[in-house]
Amino acid sequence: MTLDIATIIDIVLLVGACVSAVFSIFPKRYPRAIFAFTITNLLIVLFCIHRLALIIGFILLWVYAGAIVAFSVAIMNIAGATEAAGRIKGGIIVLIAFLIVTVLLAISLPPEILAAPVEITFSDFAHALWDTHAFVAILLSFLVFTIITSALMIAVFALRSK
Amino acid sequence: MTLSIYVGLALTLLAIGLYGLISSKDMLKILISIEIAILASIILIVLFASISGVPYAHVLGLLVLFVSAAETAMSAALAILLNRETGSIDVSKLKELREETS
Repeated sequence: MTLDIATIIDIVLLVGACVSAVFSIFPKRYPRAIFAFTITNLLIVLFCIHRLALIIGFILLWVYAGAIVAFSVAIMNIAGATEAAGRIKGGIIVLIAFLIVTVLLAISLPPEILAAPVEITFSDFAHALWDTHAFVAILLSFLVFTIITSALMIAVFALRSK
Repeated sequence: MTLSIYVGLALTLLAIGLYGLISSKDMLKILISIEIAILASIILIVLFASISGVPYAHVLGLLVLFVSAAETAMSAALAILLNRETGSIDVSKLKELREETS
């Protein structure tokens, strides 16, 4: 079986993601776990950029940058950093580091490696969003998610107050 | 053959996430495990979208991403609330709503 260079890069990225996923579960200290989780996300983002051109990859990048900031703020809050300025500063530092490393990695890869096997333009993507009513689906899913969460919280607080 | 390698790696990632989900009692580690399992599903969606070349499959990936983001924000807030209520993020301490057994 012969593998082309693009497939080998994909496999290396996914194996790296699996290894760093293991390291994000087992450490007892949170910073190490979050660092490994960041590396996992970074490798998956690079995999997506490699397979799908830039659209999904960069959306994924921003979503997981937000997720990592949320985790970092939660950890800093739980660990005792109660000052809001400290929390915001820590979250912004994590976000900037995540973005810089990803952009540097994306730039450092040669263009022939980074070129996706199937090129989807932004116009195709926007048409697909419009045709499948995905915007409506996303908004409705957020609406349903909010309603269910609110109902759950009201139920929990009502049970607690009894 | 190449496809099976990709699917195998995605399933490995899913197994790692599920193991962390089952074995850990720490809420943040449970959240990280859930995120890892969602990442495995995103890998498969991205892979099949890339193979088919249809932009509609990318929209499905986008939907999964947004749901994942909402879940992360909600769960991190729950972890902070749990810490404020109980002083730790051990989910085994969440026994307040358990029915009393005689």
